Amino acid sequence: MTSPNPRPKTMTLSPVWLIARRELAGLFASRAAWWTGAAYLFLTGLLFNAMALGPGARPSSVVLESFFTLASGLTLLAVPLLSFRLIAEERQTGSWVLLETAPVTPRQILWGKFLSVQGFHGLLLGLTAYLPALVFLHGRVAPGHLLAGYLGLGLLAAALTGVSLAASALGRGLLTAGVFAALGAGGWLVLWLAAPVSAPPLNTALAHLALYQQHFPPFARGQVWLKDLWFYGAGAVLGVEWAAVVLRQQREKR
Amino acid sequence: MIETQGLVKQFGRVRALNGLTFRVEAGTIAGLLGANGAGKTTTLSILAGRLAPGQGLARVAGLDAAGGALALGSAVGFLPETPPLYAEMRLADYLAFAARLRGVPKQETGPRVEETLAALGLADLAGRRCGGLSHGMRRRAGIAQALVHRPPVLLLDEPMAGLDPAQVVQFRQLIASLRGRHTVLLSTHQLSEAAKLCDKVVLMCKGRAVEDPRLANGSLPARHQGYTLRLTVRGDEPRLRQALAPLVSQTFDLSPHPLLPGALAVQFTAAEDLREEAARRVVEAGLGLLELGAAEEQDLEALFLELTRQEPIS
Repeated sequence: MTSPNPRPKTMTLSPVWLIARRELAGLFASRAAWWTGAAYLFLTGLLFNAMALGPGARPSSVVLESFFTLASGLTLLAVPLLSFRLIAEERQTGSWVLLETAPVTPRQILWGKFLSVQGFHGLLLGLTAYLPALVFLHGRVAPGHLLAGYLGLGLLAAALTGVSLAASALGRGLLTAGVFAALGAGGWLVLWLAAPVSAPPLNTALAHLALYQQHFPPFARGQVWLKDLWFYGAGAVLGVEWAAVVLRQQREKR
Repeated sequence: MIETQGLVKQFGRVRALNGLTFRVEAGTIAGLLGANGAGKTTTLSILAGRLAPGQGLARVAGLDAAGGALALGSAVGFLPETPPLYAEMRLADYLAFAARLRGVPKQETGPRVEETLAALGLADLAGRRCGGLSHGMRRRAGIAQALVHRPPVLLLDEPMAGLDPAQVVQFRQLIASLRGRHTVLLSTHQLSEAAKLCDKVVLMCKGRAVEDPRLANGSLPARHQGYTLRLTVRGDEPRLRQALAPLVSQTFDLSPHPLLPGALAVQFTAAEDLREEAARRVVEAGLGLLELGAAEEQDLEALFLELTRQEPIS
């Protein structure tokens, strides 16, 4: 009789990396991911030329701010599209059972999936780097502005991945997961619209809690504030933890 | 090796398991037999750690399945009804992933994958993408992922569903080859397969193992001891009764054949295969032997139908 391989019950990174690598390879093999990536890069280039560069001379910092603002809009669309399928699709194809019956925690599975989207989105961002580099040809660019902008895009993607993963865990199928992801990301985005029509102190809270309005523009301008780092970091962690709770409850209640 | 006691699982208002108790000894192959909705998949899912039991005990390889897959570690290999494959992955990479996920050290993964592929006759398909495998090969790949980490216990949910007859024979041989090295619990609708493959069958009805004096510890011996002989004979009834009387210790069924005018349909059970003797006696009595058959599995089927029908609806 063979003996089982013991695995420590504490959270180890090894399964996280293992799952992240597999998921990343899965994204590269996915037509949807290629289309999303291609559209992201095409639209970034197009909008950069049409809007960020624009007619006439403009300060480099303004061009960069426009670029990061445009790219953030595309990130808002692309990341939920890449993320909402991560659990729902596996459930649909049946491969989820492999993860469910493996000695790994829901948290390890989710962080693995989370990292894969960050890797894919990071690669897309890397491929857009030639656009701000063009600004070097015509003006001066502060490297800090570039780093801050890309950091902001990465953090925005992380927060969106968190909420989309929760949606993917909640959805019973791809369609419902997609709807939940759209509602989650969209609702979080337009929260600021509710602020002007709310009474204090709710209006202030809503404005602070909104995904974009108060937290991303500083990154686009090249400013990094701790409160914004915390906001997006907490959003990502809460999203993943919410998804982990959903998965655990589903096992108990299913 | 596998043990459940009073296992209960409720899905909303539906009670899928209603006090299921059974035991499977180490190194044996056991079948979970039951109609649709009897609770077979739920039982396997609990034992694999996918579902939390509502009440009762579920132990696999000495580990409590209530703790989920994490508590079971790599003690279990599970093949669900749909093999959990990643279509875009090459088979060898997929098995390596499954092995690493279940705690096989990196340096051992390659040899384990090669060994498993060879054992399951999949070595030639190692570089093939899982999505391009045929139905039968997908099933094999599913078993391979369940075996690659060498678990002591294998849980197979309808492993032969949708296979063609040749594949069924191959699969039966494959599962039979695991006897002694692994404890195998498989669910099936196919009584004949259970009879041929399993050392023991747990008969499930409405979420529990059927209890009957003919079953030992709630289980049915997979290979039925007796034979049911069926004959179609042309001739008169008294002479036929007289000819077969020495062979039959108990009463036998004799009735006009429903399709052949003037023919009689006879059915009786015996401890051994008496076809040859029965045929000789019928011919020597001057009767016309039109058909002769022995159906060992029919006994299991009849018993299954009888026992599952007897269960009160809860």
